[in-house]
Amino acid sequence: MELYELTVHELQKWLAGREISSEEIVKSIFTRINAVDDRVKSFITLTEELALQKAKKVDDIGKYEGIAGIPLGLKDIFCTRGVKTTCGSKILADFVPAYESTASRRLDEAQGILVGKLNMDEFAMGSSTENSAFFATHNPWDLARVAGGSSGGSAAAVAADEVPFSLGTDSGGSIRQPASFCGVVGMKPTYGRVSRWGVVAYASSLDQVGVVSKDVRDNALIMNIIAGHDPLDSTSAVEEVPDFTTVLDGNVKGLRIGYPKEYFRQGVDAAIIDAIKAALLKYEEMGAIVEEVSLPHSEYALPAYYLIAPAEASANMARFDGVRYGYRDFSAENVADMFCQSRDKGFGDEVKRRIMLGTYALSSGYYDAYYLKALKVRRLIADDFTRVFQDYDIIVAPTTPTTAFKIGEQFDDPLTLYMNDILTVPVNMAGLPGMSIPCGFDQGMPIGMQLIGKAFDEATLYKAAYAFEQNTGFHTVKPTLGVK
Amino acid sequence: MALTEKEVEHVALLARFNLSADEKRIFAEQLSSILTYVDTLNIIPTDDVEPLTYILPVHNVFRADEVKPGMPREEILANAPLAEEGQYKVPKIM
Amino acid sequence: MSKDYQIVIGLEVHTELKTQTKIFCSCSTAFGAEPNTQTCPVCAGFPGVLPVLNEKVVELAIKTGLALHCEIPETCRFDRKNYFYPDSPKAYQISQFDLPVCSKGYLDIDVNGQKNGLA
Repeated sequence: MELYELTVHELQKWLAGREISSEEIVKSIFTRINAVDDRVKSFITLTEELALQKAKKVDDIGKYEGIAGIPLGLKDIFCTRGVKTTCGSKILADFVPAYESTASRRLDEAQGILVGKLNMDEFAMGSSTENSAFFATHNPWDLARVAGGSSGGSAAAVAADEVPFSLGTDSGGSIRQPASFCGVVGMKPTYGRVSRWGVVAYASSLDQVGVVSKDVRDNALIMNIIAGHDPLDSTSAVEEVPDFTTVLDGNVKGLRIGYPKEYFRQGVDAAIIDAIKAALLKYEEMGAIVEEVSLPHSEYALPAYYLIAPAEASANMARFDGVRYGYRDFSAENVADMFCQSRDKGFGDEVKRRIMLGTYALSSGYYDAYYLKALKVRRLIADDFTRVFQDYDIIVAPTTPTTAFKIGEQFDDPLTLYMNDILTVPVNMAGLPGMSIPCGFDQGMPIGMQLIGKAFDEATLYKAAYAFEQNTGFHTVKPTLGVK
Repeated sequence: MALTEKEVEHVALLARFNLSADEKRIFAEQLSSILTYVDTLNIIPTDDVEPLTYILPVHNVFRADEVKPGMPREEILANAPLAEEGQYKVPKIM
Repeated sequence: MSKDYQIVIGLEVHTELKTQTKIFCSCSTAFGAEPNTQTCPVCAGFPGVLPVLNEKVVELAIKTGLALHCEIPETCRFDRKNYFYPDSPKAYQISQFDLPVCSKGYLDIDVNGQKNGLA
């Protein structure tokens, strides 16, 4: 077994037992990256020298607690001090922040080792990572297929054993969907659970930082580190963070699981429905109570999302004006032209599309009919979940309507790409925690099962996910990438 | 809901984009189809529904009025496309 | 004819609040420093930053409102006013639109011994 194949908790044991050094782990990781990343293309920036320096420092101190000495990747939306942060965009192609996001700072202070910045759809807008201004990320299970998005690099890198874990962000499914496509574990916690400070904003009321990992235990132990109130983020919750690893006992007797009939309808592949139904049977075998429920406003979540998110994004993207950082078109002779030309050349088509959609929805005359209407529908969607959670502990559903599609297949029609998020978006609209774990395969491509929980009840999700994982073992199947 | 090219021009101006004639046409088509899709929201009665703007029931999140060190000027200007005498330089306004 | 017309003059008065720090970040508001020496990623509008409201600002705004006989609501909120200008770092102002911290006030002033109201 190679070091790069191990999980975080396995690496922790070996480090604590002094059987390996952090330097050896980091070297193994970079050997792996050099062997496969020309094909997977997870990384925009690699920080090999800095990583080795830190590994040596950790080894010199010799105290291996928590994630000390363990490598990680960050979606290129996290501002990292001194390390280029592009958000997958030309407009930030050379941007080097002088400040650090809270989430990555907590990992850094825990002596985790940054290996590089991961590819993403530009400014988190997309479901395939094909909207990255630089290149698309390829699915390790079939290099001709997408890794999903917008955290495609974060998911592919974990699936391909390029990093033991990574951070991503999820505003409409951008952690869960790529995790599902790549056969790894992806958790988007409750809105406010993890600080958004230093995370470039896309849709401020929907964005949330989350963890991508090889198994549920790893996900829980990383969440322990990054979650918690941050005074720099006024939307960060003051809720106490429990130790999420303490619920990993495999016991789901009496757990009340609801599966929403609206998520099992036409449009979701039969193979995926079968896999989730099989998973629900497994849960029943393990002692859980499984019943059909209804979230009647589900089909309106996506259209409401495609008004709210672009509206918020249109304001968040306005700071990219060529004045203080980022790309500036120097051929402009006056400020007005500088704004228009810099933004026109710096942003990709999807970003422009969403900015214009959002601007339109907020413009006078349309604000009530579009943006305000969408916010009211959002309330109805959240209320649906509240009602179901009065009688059930978690909701189980498919994560995506299909498995990973071919690169280029959906690229020309924006609406088709949007449909990929139809099962994940409602969770962001309600601000609830949602997770995707591997639960099967369809013609060799991973299928993800989505678990949705009550606000701040990530613990029950981790408990339920762990029980399923340990009783089935889908997480141990690895893509071969034609290498080995 | 169909968006005319003129409306796309207006929105592009608000968003500060320079669109080519081709882009205006293509974006008009794409935005129109997206807006037609989101029009399905009109089916739902929402007269008595409160908009959901804030996910968390927090309010009055404040900070004490105490000075903390900011960022040194060289760092603030480090990513500037053009800086002069400690300030950001831009082309003329008019 | 001139007697049928009444002059109405609107005054938009900008007053700097006497706080130690800025409204949304902890940078100093001390006067006279060199440009960009009292800035941080928040007030410079860098990507990923978030505002945190200065409680002294709210206190002084309410105080001013009370002095001007304003109504102070139970709830007020901030909105984004979007416009592009080189001195507008986020290209939006965090402002108040339909639920301001105080409204409907008035001020009586003395003009040559006659009391006039400024509503």
